[in-house]
Amino acid sequence: MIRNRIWIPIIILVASFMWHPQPAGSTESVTTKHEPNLIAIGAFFNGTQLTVSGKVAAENEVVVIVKGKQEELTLKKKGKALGLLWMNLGSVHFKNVPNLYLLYSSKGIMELAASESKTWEQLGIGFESLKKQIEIEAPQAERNDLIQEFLKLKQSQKLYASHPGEISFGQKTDTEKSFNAAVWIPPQIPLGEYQVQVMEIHNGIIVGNSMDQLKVKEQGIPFMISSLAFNHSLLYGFLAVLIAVAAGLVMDFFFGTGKGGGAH
Amino acid sequence: MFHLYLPIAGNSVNILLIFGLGGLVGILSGIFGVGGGFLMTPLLIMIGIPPTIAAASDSNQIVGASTSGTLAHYKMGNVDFKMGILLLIGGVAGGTLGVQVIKVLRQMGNADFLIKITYVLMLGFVGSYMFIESLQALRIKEVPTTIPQKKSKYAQLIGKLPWQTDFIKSGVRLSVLMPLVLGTFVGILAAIMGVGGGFIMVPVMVYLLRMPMHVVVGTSLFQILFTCVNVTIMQSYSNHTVDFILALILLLGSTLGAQFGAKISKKLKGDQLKILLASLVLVVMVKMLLDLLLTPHIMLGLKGGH
Repeated sequence: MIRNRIWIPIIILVASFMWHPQPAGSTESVTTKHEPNLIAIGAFFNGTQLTVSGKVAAENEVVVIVKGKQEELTLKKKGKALGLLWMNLGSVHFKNVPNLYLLYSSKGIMELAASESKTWEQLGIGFESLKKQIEIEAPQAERNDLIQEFLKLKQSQKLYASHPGEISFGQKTDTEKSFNAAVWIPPQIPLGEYQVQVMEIHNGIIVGNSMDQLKVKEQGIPFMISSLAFNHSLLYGFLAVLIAVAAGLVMDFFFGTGKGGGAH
Repeated sequence: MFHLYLPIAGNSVNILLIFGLGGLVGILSGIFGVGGGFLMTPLLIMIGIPPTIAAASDSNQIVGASTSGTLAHYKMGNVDFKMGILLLIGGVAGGTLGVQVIKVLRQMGNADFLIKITYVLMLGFVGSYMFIESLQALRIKEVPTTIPQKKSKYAQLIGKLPWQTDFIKSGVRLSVLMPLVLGTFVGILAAIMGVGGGFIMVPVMVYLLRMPMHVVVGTSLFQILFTCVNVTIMQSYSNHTVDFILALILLLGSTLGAQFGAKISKKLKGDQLKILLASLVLVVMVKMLLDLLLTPHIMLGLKGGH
């Protein structure tokens, strides 16, 4: 009995290799570039635009995904107490969630997603595939709702976004066409490294793939303040208080004297 | 160009919006002697600041506003330092105790439920009582009759406590125990609810310590100043949740607002102040109640905040 069970995953694994619609070797690297390669967050940073461009075969479609590292996250779960009052009832732990997921695609992909949902699902692109990948410790019945709410929360934080049909094509020859995606990087983006993935798709099959890195770091005043806050936190706390008190004194000096002075 | 990036909050904000928010809360603080955390923290969360950072940076801001407000009120002779220090000692003790109480509550489960219900009931009770009482006081003043000063049971009781002393600025004679015990009580509640406690402290001073309204406002601000200095340093040190850029923009607005608030406060009569504060307390109560009754937009939330 036990021996049989061990064989099951192996058979599935072998089968999945044999039935894979597209052998791994046949995807080609797509020639792409993105600008900038490094996003430096300065004092006036308010989000920025990342331009991803390149060339693909004339009849193909393009998907661009900017994705952050996988992390774990604990969130509060809201529920009804006494069947009447909404409040936090317990917490939910999420595993395997990217900290950023921005999806852009060309128009043809939308038609594919609409008409051939199965093929679309196999591509492993988009929120639907994220849903399968996310792990949570919760009863199966609650799972779908919780993941749905999770995606809603991330979208409200601007860290997850889906922009179907927002990749435009430019110059077209008989064999090639150029594409351009203006990816909006929100100011909420956490510091760190990200993957910029470009996929070339032909009839529901990924025929080209390229993966590149994007770095996000702080510079100037934000960098100085962060380093002080994290490396010299006690000093930072005292300075914050001192400056606040000083601001209070200065305002009193300029705006408070005269009328109120000394009287009871 | 009107945006600044907040390194600790990890988001950018509109300078003018934050400055305006600071100004508004500063005015309230100067008029009523409250920190305004109840108002500021949810507003900051609404514009995309993580809850823990909103609350901690707000205490940093309150340090500035209450410095400004305390000075303005001090010049008007509205700060009772003796009372303020005793309340503060009680407050610190209560705050420490409150942190332990919340741990026990969390272990029992349902902590959030208890806290919110207590909060709503208390704000509702205090707000309504203050509103009705000051409304009656305003009406009675229109008829020129003197009410005989009867000594209530409460006055008789607190008169019997040991260590009676004079609080000159407030014009009351009380046992030292009163501000210490009440300070502790407010400290416990404030720690449990995660707020500064100005909203509970002001009514406590008016009704239980029998202090005149104007002295209450100044003394409350004095006390809030020290509470928030402590919170700012502790939060910076252990949680890294104070965003200084955010606090600074708020500060510029609130320190200015506090000065105007103190001037407005001086122009109002004690009972007018009370009735306005009562209305504000009731508005907060209704807002909290609605939060509890309306279906949330998203069923998951970040940790922290009020």
